[in-house]
Amino acid sequence: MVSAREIHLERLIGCKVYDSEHRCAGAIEEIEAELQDGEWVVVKVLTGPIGMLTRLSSLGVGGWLLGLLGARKSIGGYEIEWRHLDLADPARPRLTCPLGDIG
Amino acid sequence: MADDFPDMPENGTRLRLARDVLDSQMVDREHRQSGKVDGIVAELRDDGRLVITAVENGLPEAVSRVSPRVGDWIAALGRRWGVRKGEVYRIPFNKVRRTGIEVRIDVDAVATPLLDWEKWLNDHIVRHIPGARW
Repeated sequence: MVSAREIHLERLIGCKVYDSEHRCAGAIEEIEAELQDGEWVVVKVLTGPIGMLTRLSSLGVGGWLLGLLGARKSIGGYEIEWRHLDLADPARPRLTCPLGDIG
Repeated sequence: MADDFPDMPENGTRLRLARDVLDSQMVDREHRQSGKVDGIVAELRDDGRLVITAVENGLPEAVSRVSPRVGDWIAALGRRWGVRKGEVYRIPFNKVRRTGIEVRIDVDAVATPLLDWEKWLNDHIVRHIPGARW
């Protein structure tokens, strides 16, 4: 049986993700899916500048330029595994663990 | 064409949805431009997996990304006056055969509502322009 719960993924783009202590992990910029037995399954979301650079296919070049400026380490954002994301309210995605656990 | 509709990729292949699917131009099996991907629908299964089931095309869905309420208004206006009657057309994700700058879909767009606006424009405007052909 299949659950009837539908989620519009495009509406997640731009939503900020918070952990249980209201610390912000950044806004969702990219969603990654993986092919598993003929079905595309969401496995990860990327937040913040690292997500935006990935979405623009410029993480390599962007990272290199920021490296020249000495700011490579300051690229913010997180790669959040799907299992750490709670979409009970899709407009307000939450982390199921403290922010420090995904860094 | 085999090149346009390759076999299903291998297990473990990754896909970036914002970069390679969302807002991309859809092209049908006859190479007709068939609108853009305005939405991506996923289903939360009982086992906790979030499985992508369809892509959507339609103005209400595109506007809903900015404001769901305005999207509902657009859908209501569309039901009253729209060519597609406010309908958002959904294409099963197993019909999506290639992603990237273009999203290749294994459907005949003429047989779907995807080209309803083009048909309306042709019937009501373009065909009345002297010398016009569509």
